[in-house]
Amino acid sequence: MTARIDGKDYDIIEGETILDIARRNDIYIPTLCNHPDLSAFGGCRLCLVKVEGFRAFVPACATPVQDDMVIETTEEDLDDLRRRILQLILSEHPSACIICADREECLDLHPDPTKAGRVTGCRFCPNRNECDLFDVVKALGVDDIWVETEYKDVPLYRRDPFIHRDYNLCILCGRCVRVCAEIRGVSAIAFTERSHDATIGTAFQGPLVDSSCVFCGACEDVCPTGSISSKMTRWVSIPEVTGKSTCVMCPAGCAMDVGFKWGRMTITEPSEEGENVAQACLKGRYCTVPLTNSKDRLEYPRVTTDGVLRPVKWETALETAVEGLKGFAPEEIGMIVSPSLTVEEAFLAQRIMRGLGSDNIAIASNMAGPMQKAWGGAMDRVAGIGTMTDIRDCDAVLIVGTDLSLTAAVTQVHVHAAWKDGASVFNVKIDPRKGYRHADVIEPDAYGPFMDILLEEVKAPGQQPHTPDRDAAGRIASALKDADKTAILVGPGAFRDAAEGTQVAKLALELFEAVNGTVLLPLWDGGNVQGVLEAGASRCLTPGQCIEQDSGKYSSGRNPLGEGIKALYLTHPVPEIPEGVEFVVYQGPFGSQVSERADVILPSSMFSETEGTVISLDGRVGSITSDARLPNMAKPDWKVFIDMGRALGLDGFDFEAVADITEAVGLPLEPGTHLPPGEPLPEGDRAVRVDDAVNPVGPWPCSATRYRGREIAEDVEDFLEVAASWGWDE
Amino acid sequence: MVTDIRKIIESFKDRKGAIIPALQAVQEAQGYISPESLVTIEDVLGISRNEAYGVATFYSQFRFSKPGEHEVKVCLGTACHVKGGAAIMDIIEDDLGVKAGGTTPDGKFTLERVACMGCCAVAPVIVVDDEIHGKMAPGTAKEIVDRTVSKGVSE
Amino acid sequence: MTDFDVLKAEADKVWDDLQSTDGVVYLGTASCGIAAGIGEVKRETERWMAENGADLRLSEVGCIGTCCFEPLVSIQVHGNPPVAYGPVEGRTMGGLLDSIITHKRYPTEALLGSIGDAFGDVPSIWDHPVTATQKRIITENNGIIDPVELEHYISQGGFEGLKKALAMTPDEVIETVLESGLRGRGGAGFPSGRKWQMCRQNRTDKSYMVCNADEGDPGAFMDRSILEGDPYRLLEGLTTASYAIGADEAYIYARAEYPLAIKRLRIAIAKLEEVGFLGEDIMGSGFSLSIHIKEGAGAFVCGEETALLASIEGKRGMPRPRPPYPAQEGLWGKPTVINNVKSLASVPAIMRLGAEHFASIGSEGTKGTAVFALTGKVKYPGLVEVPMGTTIREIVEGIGGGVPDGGKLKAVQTGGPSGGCIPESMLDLPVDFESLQQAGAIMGSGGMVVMDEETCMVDVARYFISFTQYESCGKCPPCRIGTKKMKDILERICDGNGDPGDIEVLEEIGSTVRMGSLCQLGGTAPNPVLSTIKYFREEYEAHISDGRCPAAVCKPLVTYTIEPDECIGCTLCAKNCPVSCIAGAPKEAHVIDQHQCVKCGMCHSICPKDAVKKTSPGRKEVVE
Repeated sequence: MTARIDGKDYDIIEGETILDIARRNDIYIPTLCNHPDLSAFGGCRLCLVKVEGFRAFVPACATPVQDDMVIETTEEDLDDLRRRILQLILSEHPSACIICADREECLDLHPDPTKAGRVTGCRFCPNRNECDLFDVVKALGVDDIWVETEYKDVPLYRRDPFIHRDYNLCILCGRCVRVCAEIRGVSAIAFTERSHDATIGTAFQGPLVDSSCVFCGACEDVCPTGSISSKMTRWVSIPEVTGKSTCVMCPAGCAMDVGFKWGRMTITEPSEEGENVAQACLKGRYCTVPLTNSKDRLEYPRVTTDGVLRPVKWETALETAVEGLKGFAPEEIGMIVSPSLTVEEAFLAQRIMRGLGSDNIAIASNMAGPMQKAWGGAMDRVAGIGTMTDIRDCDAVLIVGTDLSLTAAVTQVHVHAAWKDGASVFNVKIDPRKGYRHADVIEPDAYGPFMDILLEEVKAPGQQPHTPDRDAAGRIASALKDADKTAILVGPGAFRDAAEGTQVAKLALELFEAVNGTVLLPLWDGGNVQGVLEAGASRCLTPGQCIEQDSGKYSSGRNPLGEGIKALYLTHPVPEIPEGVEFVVYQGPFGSQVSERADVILPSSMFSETEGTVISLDGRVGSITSDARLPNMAKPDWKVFIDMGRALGLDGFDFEAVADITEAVGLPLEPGTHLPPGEPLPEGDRAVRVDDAVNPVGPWPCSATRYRGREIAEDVEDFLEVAASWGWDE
Repeated sequence: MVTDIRKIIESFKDRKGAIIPALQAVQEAQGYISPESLVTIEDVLGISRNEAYGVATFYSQFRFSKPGEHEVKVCLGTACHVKGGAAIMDIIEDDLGVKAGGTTPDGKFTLERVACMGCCAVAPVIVVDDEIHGKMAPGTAKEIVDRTVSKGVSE
Repeated sequence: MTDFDVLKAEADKVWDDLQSTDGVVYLGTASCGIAAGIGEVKRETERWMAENGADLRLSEVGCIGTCCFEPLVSIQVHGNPPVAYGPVEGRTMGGLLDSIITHKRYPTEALLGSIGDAFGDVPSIWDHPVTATQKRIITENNGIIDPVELEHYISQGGFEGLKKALAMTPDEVIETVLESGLRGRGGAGFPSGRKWQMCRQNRTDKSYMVCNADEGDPGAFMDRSILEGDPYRLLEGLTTASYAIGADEAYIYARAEYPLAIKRLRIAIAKLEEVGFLGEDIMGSGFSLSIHIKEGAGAFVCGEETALLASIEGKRGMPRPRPPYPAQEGLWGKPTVINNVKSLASVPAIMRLGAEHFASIGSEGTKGTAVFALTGKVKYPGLVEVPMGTTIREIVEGIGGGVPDGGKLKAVQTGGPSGGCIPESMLDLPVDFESLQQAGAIMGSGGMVVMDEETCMVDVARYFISFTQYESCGKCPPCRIGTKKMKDILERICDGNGDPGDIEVLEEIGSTVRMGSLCQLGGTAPNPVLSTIKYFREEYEAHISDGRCPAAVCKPLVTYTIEPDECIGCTLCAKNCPVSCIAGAPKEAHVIDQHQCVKCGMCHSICPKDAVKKTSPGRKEVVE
């Protein structure tokens, strides 16, 4: 099948619109309301084309191409009409700069927008360098406006957290409404009113925190004008250096574009390409930069002398640390590994401890221990099955123990895609937060017993007397069994108690097998838990998640916060230093209540300042790069570990670059690829391969509102307002 | 009252395209669409309150504040306009002391303009509390409104 | 499920009984009758009955079409056909009943005629100039039968069409409608049979039938009259159409401003379900249909078919681009046919009397009849049904009686806010789709407003563009912004602040709005403006260059003065002036203070001697 466009014939792909086929063949048709990821709106009327046999011009974005269609994309009347329509749009937008002949020169001389209370032209607009509206003006050659212009003079919305809205610039393309509804599944904003008063807004023009907005910033990304901008980056200049990195605020591992100027991180935005489908969440988008640039960063190595932590040189700090640690027997030394460390950093951390002869290593995560106990004995590795993208094809999705608002928030985008295709979505959770609107929410009394009932209903339905929990379980069970493909996601809420967590993890796996599931994913309570596990930085594990039970070498580890521990190496804050601990080394980017009690402080990096590899909750390998200078004397964690290793006189710390460490880890860590999924072992081979000593040291405080122990709200004011409105007050 | 609204909205569960009839039922029950009713609609029907607000504000029928005790509508359809409807609206606006679309400060009267009641052959037309009156003139229209005002005063 | 023939026999008996009952009073109880005051008349009748111990049957019927004579009653007594009287008021009803029933005398005052043959001194209503040239097919039952009595409708041939249709295949039904040449009566004039065919061809598992009863055109009430006067006719047509396209679910989208129509439809649907003419296995044919009524919520744009579908789906009524057309992808993505009330109401007669019969009426390109709502400055406003091809003059002057009170006809506006104004010189145009379009007007849904010399055409343009601007959904810039700009300019002109060049700007914006808009609301919004500029340009120029409104309508340009020689000093004007700006002692000529005058027109309407003059002097003269 072919269609003729501007005199040439082109092949048609079934289901295409005229705009699709034009774009595919690099034929320009102006558009404003259209966006490749969103449904066609047909509102702006700029993409009108002439098609033989039709009385009027038709919109290319919404008209399906037919065999033998004859299309003209340009013609005097048509071009004239397009320009007039564009001028009507411009007449209600502050357009003085858009049509000014000196615009290019002006922007060259003033590359950054001039701060002003109100945008009255490109000079003052945060969107000036990436304005879709201007692009169309330029392409159509409009340099004048033939009708009376009128400034709408509608109120500015300045008081919402993170997001600034100025509807005086809005051209009502509706992209923001569509991305919020179609991609995020939230519908925090909608078209309101009618006719000339039509505008975008929330119910009763209320604040965004009341409208179920998740502050993901997707609207800002798709807005063709400066109508929606983020308060943080409105006046931030164009970055000097840009790069591609991975976000570690949560284990979703979103691919991000990062920007730096003068050694400071200035912006993080989701990348076009990546399994996060150009989406992010408020943590990755709006909180990374303020945290990185926080005034409260640890900047100098410190050593306690006469009860006071004093700044010292690095050599002094390292010497003091080495001396202190060597004063204890290996079994008396414990290490807490931060789940925000990269794979390389975690690898070095465990190499230090094992070099010292100790296996008393624990990850600061409520989920890691119980998952190791439950899955470590039933699968070949503690790893999920399937990817986040696979969720989109599932017909039933079960989420246990979280509500996706601040835990792996981007997963909701994939869940929503599945829901739009007809999937049933169930959310079993005990917290009162609302979460994904389309989920069937079940609130049991306890997770463990509920999962038991659920498994029973799957294997032998309807045998037991009715209770509310059982009826709900029955509903879920039949949906899971009817589905061709099922996804089960397990989150931190079910792991507040270690024993219950282990039970939930075990039952989740059994449930997955009972329904022949497709996706089984742990929504870790830490950005790189998966990576830290793969690096072997946990009791009973070695790099590659090997368990050397027989040799006894690595299975002798005990609870680093338990009895008999006299020295602690912390890379993550603990709630309190246990009695009996006499010596503490504290490494990290931020202080905390326990760092005051440290004997040695080693200031290190945030993920946004280091280099290395991280692994997402679905096994995807992501790389981290940065052009940021760390504050003052702080060093990236990997450099600190190398220095420590060498200072302790241990073998295996002869690394110059991160790439060397990556090689030494010995895993297939090619960015963009996936590690193999966890493989369930045959029934007969399942055993408890990890003893109770592995059980977690927590409960750790909620990780959704913290990064590496630091409350995000301490550095990002708006975050507190949002989290509190959602009921995140743990 | 809130539980009544919830019950009313629940009767529209599982109905396709139920949002408009649900909003109409809410307005029928309490006279206007309140923020709380949109929260309930979100809870029960699963339609985001913002979308529901967007639908409600699109249609002229819906009000967002308590209406007056009495409702006066002046038809400004073509036939009524051609026969002097605008003058009637002016007189009543003046008489009641409120502009079309508003409610008098004492909460007694809401004055609305309607596009067309379909009674064009007896234009001009006004409607007072669901009673249609045809063949109006500024004087007679004012009389009918005044009658309702004084009825209210004596009640 | 009741056998049709059994039901028909019963219905005929009921109808015959009614005809032979001595003492029936038919009250014209459509919304227009109610507005005119039929309630008072009914109460007076009941009082008379009680007083005189008379046992009369009261029947509330729809509007027979002659709304100008409302409140309308017909009295059937003494073995004579019902005789219609109108306008009848509460206070005169008693006297009328006395005359006719007690004294067997048919007074000539307010006499319209017998609804049947003439007898004695009583002429037939069908010879009255208002009805004589009409051809009632769709409206034939209006005002004659009780709209909610199924037996009445069946006795007049109702549901014979559906019975015939169900005995054919759906494709044969479509063929019949195609042959009849029926074109959509909503305004677009698309051949209805072809639309049904397209839908049927696209149908896979489901299709929907929708009746567009969102008659939003101000000045139009044809659909209302049918729904209030003969709802079973619409339902029969709707059921037939549903059968043809294979839909088992149908929607009637009725505007909320028609509560009486909705009420009667609900009663009718319930009745039909009771006798098995709706619901499962209709008339034993195996075909099932359920009809849902969806009330509009006050949006004119929902008369546009894709906006209407969006509204049924529970969304904002924002139209979407076509193709794909609703017959391909409509309600919830399924093939859907949307037809206007009058189109569907034409179907029973087509099925019952045959396609040829319908095709024999009307003009070459447009078959059948057209129903118009004739209103405005005309002696006999009301509902009119004429064969397509009748000229406008025949309708306005022949049936409508021309402009009353010696006024001069200036223009006729057809097609509502989407239509145009046809000047007096062009009134010999025949009424059909093509002819009107060539004149820059459209047939539209059937509104026809008569305007005289006291109508300002610039004000008419301003009125219509304000309407469409207000009702615009706001989705596309040409309509949302373009109509606002046009309205702003017209308001300036009507305020006397027009600029030279305004007319040209209006034409340019009008052209952009016309060619660029997404739907026909925007697409036709400039029509009233462009057609009045075309035919009444001098009025625009008077407003702009002279600040003068030739028809003395535009308030800021109008001056009220009291002619001292004609004023009798009754003080009525002074007493009623809202700003108390009229001075004068009793029995002496009064004077209006021009500086205080707010031009409300109260004095002009209240003066018993017409001594208050309304003029528009323009900028050249300044009136003290």
